[in-house]
Amino acid sequence: MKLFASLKSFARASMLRSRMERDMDNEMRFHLEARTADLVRQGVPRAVAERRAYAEFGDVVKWKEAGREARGLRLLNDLGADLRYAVRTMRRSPGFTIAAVVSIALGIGANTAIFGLIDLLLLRPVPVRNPYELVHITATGERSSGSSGLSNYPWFREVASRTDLFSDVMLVRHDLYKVSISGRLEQLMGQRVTTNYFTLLGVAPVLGRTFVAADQPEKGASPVAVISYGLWQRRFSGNANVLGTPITVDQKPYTIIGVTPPEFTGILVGWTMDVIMPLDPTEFMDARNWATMPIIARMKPDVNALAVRQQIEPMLQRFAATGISERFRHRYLEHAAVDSAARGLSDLRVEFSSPLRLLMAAVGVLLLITCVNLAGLLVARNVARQHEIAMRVALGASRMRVMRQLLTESALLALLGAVPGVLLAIRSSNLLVEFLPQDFGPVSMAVRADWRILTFAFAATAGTTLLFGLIPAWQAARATVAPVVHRTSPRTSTARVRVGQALVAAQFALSIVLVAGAVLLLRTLLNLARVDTGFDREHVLVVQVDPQGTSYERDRLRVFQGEMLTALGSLPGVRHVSLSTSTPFNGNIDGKRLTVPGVEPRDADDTVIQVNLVGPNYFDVFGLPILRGRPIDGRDQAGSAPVAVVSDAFAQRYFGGAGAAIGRQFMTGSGQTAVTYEIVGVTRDVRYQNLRTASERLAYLPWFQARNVRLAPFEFVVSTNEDPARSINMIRSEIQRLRPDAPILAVRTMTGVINGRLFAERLLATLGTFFALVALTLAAVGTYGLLTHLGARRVPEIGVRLALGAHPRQMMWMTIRENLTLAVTGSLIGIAGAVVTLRVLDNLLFGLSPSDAVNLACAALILILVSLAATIVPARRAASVDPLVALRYE
Amino acid sequence: MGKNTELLQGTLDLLILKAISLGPLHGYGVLLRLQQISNDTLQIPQGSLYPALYRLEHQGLVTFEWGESENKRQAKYYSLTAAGRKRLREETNYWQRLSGAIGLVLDAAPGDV
Repeated sequence: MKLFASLKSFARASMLRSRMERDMDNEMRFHLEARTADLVRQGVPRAVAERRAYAEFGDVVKWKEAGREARGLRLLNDLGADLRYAVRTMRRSPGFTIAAVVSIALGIGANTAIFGLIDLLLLRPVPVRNPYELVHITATGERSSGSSGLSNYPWFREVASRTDLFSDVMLVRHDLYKVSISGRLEQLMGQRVTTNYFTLLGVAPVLGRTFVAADQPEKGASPVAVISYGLWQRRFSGNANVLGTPITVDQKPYTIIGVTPPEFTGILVGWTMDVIMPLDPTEFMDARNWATMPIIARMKPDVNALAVRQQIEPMLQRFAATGISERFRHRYLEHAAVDSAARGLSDLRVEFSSPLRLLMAAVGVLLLITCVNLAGLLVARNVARQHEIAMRVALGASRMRVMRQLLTESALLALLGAVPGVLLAIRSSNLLVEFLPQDFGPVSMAVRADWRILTFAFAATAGTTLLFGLIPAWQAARATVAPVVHRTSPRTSTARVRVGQALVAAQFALSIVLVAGAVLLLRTLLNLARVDTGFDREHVLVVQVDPQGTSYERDRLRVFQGEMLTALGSLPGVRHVSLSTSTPFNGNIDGKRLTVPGVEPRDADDTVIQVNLVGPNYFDVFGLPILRGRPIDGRDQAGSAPVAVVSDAFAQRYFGGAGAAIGRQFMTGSGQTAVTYEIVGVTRDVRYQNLRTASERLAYLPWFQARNVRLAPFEFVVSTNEDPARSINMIRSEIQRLRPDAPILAVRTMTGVINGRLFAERLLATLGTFFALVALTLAAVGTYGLLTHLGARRVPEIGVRLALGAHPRQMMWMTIRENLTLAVTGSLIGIAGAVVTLRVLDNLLFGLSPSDAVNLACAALILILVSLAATIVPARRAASVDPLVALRYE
Repeated sequence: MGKNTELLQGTLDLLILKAISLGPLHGYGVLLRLQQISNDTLQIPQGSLYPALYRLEHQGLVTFEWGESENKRQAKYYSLTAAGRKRLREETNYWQRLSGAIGLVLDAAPGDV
């Protein structure tokens, strides 16, 4: 009530300024006239009465000012004046203003951009009703954790029976589906869900209806699907008659019954669920079969996740106790994990949370550098304004008042920088989103300028203002009146110079951390890119094929494969063509149980083997030498005796050497599916899935010996004479010509595939380098600013020295030497700081230690060189001082 | 004039509230009423009434409307709001307790202790 009255009075006062002034004027004039009239009535002559009335009233101007202050208008008046003055000051020194605005824009922009991503991926709750009641229930073990937890329908029923804990429980299975809409096939993200999905989340459709219990497939319901708003707009132009439209999903017919709201993306952060269908529980009825299907439950309001975990854990133990092998239980069902699902589930989060946190730390340091730099520049500039400030103090301005004015200037600078910074940030973080790896499906998320982002940006700006504005303002407000009184030239107190120097040194120290970190990340990226993978990656193209859910089955697939091998092989510039199921770095891993007769397994690793089904010429495509024996070739057809080529590591482990392996046998699988292979060749080791870890043991098995045609993703691999990137279009059009409906996912160069694996590393290295460059630029600007102002201050001193016979070059060296001392001091502190802080990078580095001496020295050298470069102009200016002019100045 | 008493810090607001509580007044009227009921013993810097009135208005304790004065001029008439009446009660209580207590202390004779 009171606050409201104050706000109302302040609002009225500030909006109806002239009206309020007029009222105040009228009121006081009325008072004076009434008083005069009263006095006249008492017999005082009019002229005397008027004077008395005024005298009794007191200073009208003063009372008016007090009246304005009472309404909170004084501050507003002052603010207006300060802002006008700030604008004028800025216009007078455009160089400083531009430097300050640009560096704040970069600092705030970088912070807002990274925060935008972090918010999107790590902080923001999913757009459903009461997201904080949602929990994600998974089983974890040695091999599974977080979003990859397993479940099945009987276990789900078990969990759902706990109506004391949950108001509702659902099962969700995410997948990529081949969706055909009016004859056009595309690959879309989708999910199969229990029919309570939408009611549990509290999401209503924008069109049509969502699922009801009767939609459940096991009850013989006709298959229905709900589609996303995006898909509706894209493929149906938002037309309302989409309801009832038939589509096919993985070759099965569905009818569209509803459309989800535009902001709804599902609970998997980073991807939009374009098609949502009811899950068929009969597929997951077998209690011994577990699949990656999150169980999402809505807790009752008075239940918390911890309590749920305590209840679920013994339930899981009981459930897994029967019919499940000890090993499986140990690997996947050891414990129950209950995590909040308020922020959705995300594989991207798992992959990017540590790089993003790191980037946030880096941009934080960058903003700190920006602040220190600006503080330094302001201190230096206020030296030049000392006279002006002293004059203000002499005229009666309080120190608070002077500080307020200087802080207003800082705030205006910060605001001018922040606005373009935030605009830039939104654009650039969306650019980053576009570059996120699309391994699982097209990433669809966007950073928008909503209140979360704007609040962050505003807080960052306010913090920045205080951080860079406070020290200089406080310093300047301590100005003495002496210079004005004594009419001396502006002199700077030693203390003030010290503050300026300390700020530049601090800026150097902080910059070292950023630069050293960036160099570490860059070198890691280079090290990784240069890792010897063991095969030729420069001349290979990979054609990714996924026949699942298409008409390419059995014989048709086999014919297609044969056709393609011949057709691609006869293209100009193509050297060799082959195909394989687990091409290096393509993500498909195929492990099999392994038994080697005569060799006792030492540990669990000895009983599994990574296999790759390869066609003839595979080793030629990748330039893999056969160390012993022969490669897999045309001889190895269906019906011939099973053979294998193994990697050197395999031969070493089980037979003690490549030579000894030839002619030996091993067995994959067990019982009915067991196959015995004879080793006919040994090839070189390669890095297979991870550039960072040494080669694994591998067995290459002949593609065309496989008993069944595999209906799994595979790749054609093609080696070319020239740069393979140039052959991509040729190969695409050849496939298009042969089989327009071929289920080709992508045609990529092997280098591209490997680089895709380095996304996080590249992101960190690129952004880190960018931030380091900004820090270096700021270091140069800061040094230059300080020296320029110090130089101006020393003109008289240099003049005297020159007049006494010093050589101009000595003056130049003096400036350089002093600055070098500053740079070296800052660097040493920075190196100490870097050794401590850069340890956080340890897990991300490759072939380097965070405290790598060469690296730190390198960073220090870069900074010192930058500082020297920034010294040149001020140093030459010092050398060119004319002693006569300088002395006259004194 | 010699008997005039200077105002204690912070009491002007209370006096204004009291004066207005007896009926809507314009600024000059407040002055006259205060002088009248204090028998001209209170010396109030006349101009200081206005910042005080604006402060009370800002705090939502008084409100105003324009009206016609005795000499047919437009004047701003202040009156108490509900919050103002409440504040006046509180302040009056407080003031009476305080002045009573101070009076007791000052009246204390040597024998009382």
